[in-house]
Amino acid sequence: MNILKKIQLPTGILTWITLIAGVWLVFNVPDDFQQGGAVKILYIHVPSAKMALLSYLVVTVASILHLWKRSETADILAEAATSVGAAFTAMTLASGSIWGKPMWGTWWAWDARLTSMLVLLILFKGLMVLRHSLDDPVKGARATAILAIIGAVDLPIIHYSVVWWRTLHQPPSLSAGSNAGIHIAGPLLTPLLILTVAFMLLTLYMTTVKARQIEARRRLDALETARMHADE
Amino acid sequence: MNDYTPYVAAVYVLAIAIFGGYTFRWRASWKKLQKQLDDHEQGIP
Repeated sequence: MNILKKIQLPTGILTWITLIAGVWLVFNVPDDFQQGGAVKILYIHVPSAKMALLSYLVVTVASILHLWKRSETADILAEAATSVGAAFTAMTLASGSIWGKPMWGTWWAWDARLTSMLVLLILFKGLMVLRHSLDDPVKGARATAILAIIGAVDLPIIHYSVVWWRTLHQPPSLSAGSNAGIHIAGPLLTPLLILTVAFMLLTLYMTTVKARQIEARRRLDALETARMHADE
Repeated sequence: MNDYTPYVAAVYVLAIAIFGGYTFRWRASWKKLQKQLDDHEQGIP
């Protein structure tokens, strides 16, 4: 876990630089001809959604590693990425809802994309509750890892929801392939790409901070348990 | 053209509150835990 200590400060600095650059661009590029100023919301919404999915992918991979290698480092990473992912998912849903009110005339619709993202938030919260609901932390970690792996089925559902179903939600904003997704003009694409990078760094930074907090808490719990047994 | 400023402002304020708030909270918790660990190493109850 020493690597977390080494990367935290440089990641934090880079996050600030890219966030400031991205937000400055957001407020200095033209508005969208259809959405007007509301397009500025999407510069937060789209990167948040990407990071929510990336975080769950990290949780899934870390959970597999934990079950396979019995790695506590992987379990700490899974727990950290769960908290970070929940924050990004909440931001995605909130920013999407605030964008949807002036654009769609509604705060919410039971659309495939929105519903599957809500399921993702419930999954993140469920993972947190399950881990702490079992008295034995080892069993809690195993049960959480199993649930995380099962819940990973939501990731392709979220990603392909706008392709598989006729949805209110627009097709992907950023996609591989020239015919996929929406064509975004250059001046509007640049801040989106910069903020996506900024949010990746933010995700890494927040995961680092949370992982160090979790590791410190586990070390303290272990010391206190050892002290209790020594006193007996 | 409609004025979307309140909606845009709400999203950016919410982003600062959520991401800034959680990061601050986790850092503060980590520092408190680290102090307790340091005290334990030095034998301070």
